[in-house]
Amino acid sequence: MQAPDLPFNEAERIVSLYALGLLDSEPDERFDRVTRLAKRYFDFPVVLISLVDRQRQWFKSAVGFEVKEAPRNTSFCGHAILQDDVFAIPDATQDPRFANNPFVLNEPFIRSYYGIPVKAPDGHQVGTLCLIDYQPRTLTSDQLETLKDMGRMVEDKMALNNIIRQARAARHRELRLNAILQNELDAIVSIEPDGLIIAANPATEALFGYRQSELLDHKVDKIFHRPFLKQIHAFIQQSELSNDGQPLRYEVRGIRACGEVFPMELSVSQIEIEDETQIILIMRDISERKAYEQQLQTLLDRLKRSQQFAHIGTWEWDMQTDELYWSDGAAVIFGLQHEPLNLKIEEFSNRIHPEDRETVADAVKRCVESRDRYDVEHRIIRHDGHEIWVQERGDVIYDEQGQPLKMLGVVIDIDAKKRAELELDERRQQLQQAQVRAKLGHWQANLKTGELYWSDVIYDIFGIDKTVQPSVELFQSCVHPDDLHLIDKSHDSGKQDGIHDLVHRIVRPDGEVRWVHELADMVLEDDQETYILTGTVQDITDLKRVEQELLEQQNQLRAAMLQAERASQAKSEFLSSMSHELRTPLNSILGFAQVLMRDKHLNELQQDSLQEIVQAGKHLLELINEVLDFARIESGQIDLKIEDVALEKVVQDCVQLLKPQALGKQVELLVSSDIGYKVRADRLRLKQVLLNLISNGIKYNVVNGQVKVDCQLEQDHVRVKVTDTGLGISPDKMQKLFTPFERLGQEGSAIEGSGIGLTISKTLIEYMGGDIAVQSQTEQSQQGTEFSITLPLAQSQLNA
Amino acid sequence: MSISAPRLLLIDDTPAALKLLSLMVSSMGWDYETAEDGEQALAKIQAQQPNYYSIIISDWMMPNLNGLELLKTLKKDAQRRHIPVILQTALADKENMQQGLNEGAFYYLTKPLDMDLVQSVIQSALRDYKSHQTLREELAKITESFSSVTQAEFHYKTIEQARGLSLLIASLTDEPEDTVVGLFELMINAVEHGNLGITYDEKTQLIEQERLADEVKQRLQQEGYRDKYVTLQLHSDEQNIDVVIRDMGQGFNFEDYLEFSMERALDNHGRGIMMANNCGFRSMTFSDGGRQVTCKIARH
Repeated sequence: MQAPDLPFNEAERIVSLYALGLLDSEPDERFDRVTRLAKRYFDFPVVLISLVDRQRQWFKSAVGFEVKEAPRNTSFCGHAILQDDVFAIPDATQDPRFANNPFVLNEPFIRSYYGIPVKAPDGHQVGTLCLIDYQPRTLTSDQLETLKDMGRMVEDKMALNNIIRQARAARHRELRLNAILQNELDAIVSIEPDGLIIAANPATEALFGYRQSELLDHKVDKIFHRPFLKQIHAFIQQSELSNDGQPLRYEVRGIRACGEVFPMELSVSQIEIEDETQIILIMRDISERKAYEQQLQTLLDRLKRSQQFAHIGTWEWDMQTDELYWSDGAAVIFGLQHEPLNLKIEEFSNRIHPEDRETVADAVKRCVESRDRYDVEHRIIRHDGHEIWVQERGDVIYDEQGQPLKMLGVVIDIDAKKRAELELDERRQQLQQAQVRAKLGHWQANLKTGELYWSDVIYDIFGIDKTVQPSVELFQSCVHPDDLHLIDKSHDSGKQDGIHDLVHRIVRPDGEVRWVHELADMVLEDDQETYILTGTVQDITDLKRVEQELLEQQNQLRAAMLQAERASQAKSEFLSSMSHELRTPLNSILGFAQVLMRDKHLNELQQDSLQEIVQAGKHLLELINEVLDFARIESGQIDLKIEDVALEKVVQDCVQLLKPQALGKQVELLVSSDIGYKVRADRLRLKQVLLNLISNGIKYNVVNGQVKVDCQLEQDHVRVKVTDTGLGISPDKMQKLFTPFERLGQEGSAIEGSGIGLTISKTLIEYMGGDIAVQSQTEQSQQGTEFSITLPLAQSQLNA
Repeated sequence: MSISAPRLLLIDDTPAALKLLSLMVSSMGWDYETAEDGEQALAKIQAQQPNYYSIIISDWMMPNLNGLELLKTLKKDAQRRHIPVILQTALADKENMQQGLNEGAFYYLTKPLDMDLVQSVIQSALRDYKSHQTLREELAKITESFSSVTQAEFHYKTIEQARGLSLLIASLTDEPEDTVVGLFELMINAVEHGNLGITYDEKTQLIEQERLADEVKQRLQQEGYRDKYVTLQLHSDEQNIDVVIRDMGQGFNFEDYLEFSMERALDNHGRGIMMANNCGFRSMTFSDGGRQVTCKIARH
């Protein structure tokens, strides 16, 4: 027996065979029709359509044969496919290739075989149409031709089958694709290069709100926010350049039928279908994704901002690599502008204030080893050199073996708070010291429970040992027994106005009595029956003593003042009534004398006598006026009206008034021209002084003498000099010049005077801020006296 | 009514003082009546016609109604407030004097009385009283006034012209009897002290010698004075009359004369400006060194 050879193109042939898809397929009437026809035509008991597989031959159609397949190496068909023509074996027993073939020797005892190879549409001989009989048979050439034709028929069937199968496959593919397209959530649109839409899936309708009819044959720009065709072409070019076959994705904006513009993701690809270029656009609404992204960004921003606002930052320390991550907030706290990259833990450890490094290291150690929470306050030196306080809190993350992996935490800028705390501490200390110095303590009492809190100072004030627990009862035992009722009274009034304010005495254990001032707020608790007093107590014993002394002094002073006032009042009243009482009789004396003098019938003696009465009366009046004036000035009962006074005017007024007197004494009055000053003075009183001085100059002058008035500037004062040409005053008498009622030996002389004119002048000038001086020559050659007064210059002249 | 025979009312609770004053006044040739306290005096005054007494000389300190109270009462009596009241007292202190003058006393005499001064003061008071009384009486005669005037300018030279003009203008005002005195005083001030250059002291002397009117007449004729005139401008609206009086003199220290001055309290004149300042003008302002005075007066 000879096994069939393999064709030279066996591999391709097998591929071709498999591509037919006929192996092991269901029986097919189309093939069976051929085998039945062949059986009837040739009258062979067996007709087969055999497909030659790698190891077997499988029968697509068989009549008169039970088996479905048979081994290839003992097959007739394996031989048949090696040639193009009919493979004819009229009697197998006579053919050395088949004489000992098991199918010839044994069942079914094949004797004759005629097989025509059949080709797949691609030309490979994949099998045969063959006729088998159990007795030797010889076919005519006609019959052989018919067999060939029938072989061609099988080939046609196979080609048809192929077409049907391909058609079905294509149909399936299309159905599958359509199913995908129809159910695709993304909008898929295919367009022509000029932008005309040629297809769109239902998702497109849903996405844009157009019906198919509104899309097809419309320009694709309809669904884009901006005309987009050009850009699509640009995208395609990019796609081709990128050359990895994957369509590129873009974010563009689409526009719905209702006009709403929304963000979408677009991928573009270009395909060629039967030499026509189509562009496929796949679009997806990403507004939700965008919104999420936006939201996420907002949250991140918010987190960042809240970190900044709260002066909080977060950090992460990779303990394996010592890499450090700082959030923006953390970076800002450390004085950096923004989130730094590629930090190492040293960046942090170098910033810790040298004095706090140990504290921080301990805290880290405790956290890592004892798994305590990391919570530490320390100072850092910021990037700009500023020192600030921060608080850090964190935790360690461990791996499965319990090795520390990472430390995560927050850093909080607590500088302001910390500094306030430190300052508060300092203030508290200062307050404490101040309270000790001021002997001022604070306390709080609960009137219901009798509980009492005392600050240290109070123990000192009350002289009680600090180990003793204070209580309201203890306090009450310290209060001076006579003052206990004051406490109750103050509590009663405190219930009304909320203030407990009183001064009372306490008795210290050593018996010393001290004064204290208590000042507290009195508050009723919510239970409506518990009063809480919070306030201070101050030892005011020293103050009280001083106060007492002051009070006594004040009382004395008040008594003295009252006495002085009474005395002054009495004096004033006395002067007033003196004036009145003296003037009233003088009015009669002078008045009636004057009336009498008008009587033309009086003789010379009577006239003279009356003249004397009037003269004496006027002198008396002058005396009374001056004495009373003096008394008034002496007791401070004059009101000076100090104003700017033109000196010249006052001097001229005086000269005018004294002219008659000067004329009578034959004394010349000379006024210098350099008296144009303004001075600060009381006009009337200044006039009074000048009248006194000039009038003295006239009175005590010699006949044909002179009285000269001139002045000179002395810094901010003016000195007014009244110089006479009298006999002068001896030095021993000069001392007594300003003594009241000292007339320097003129008492008996004809010159009238009260003897207090100069005293009054001196006092008045001093009241006006000036002084009075006198120079005198008694030598025969240089007689005369110079009285001078100084007066402050008016402001207007000082500036000039 | 006659003002030619002045009648004085003398008041003092001290008989000797009242007797002395009576003697003085009678020796000076005036008629007088007496009262022993303010109450009695007031009864007498009120029992008579308002112009029965020309001058009242009263002591300050008296029982019942004292001199100051009497003064205040009279100043409130519209018909009698023009009667000059001269106070006299033995209390010679400044505060009392000032108070009396502020209340409108014409003079404040201190005891003991100087007879010459008493005479001079009475004469001065009578002169003012007569002059002002005449003005007021003349005012009553003005029945037709140029009440529709809104703006006018007058030039005058003499005291007589001033008098006529002051009456005319006063008749336009709300309280003509008061304003006429103020206007007249300011207008003669402009003639006497302004244009004619009569000084304060000269005037004192001229009054003393009773030569003032003659001197004024004489200077009005003199070279250097006779061409000078006073300009009075008048502007009027519904409420006010503004009067501007401007002379051609050297100006004067007007501040000194706006209020009572103790220095001049006993002088025989020098209260014209002060009277004007207190006669009820709404405002009175001197300017240009005293050459010009502007008064705002309520319109009738």
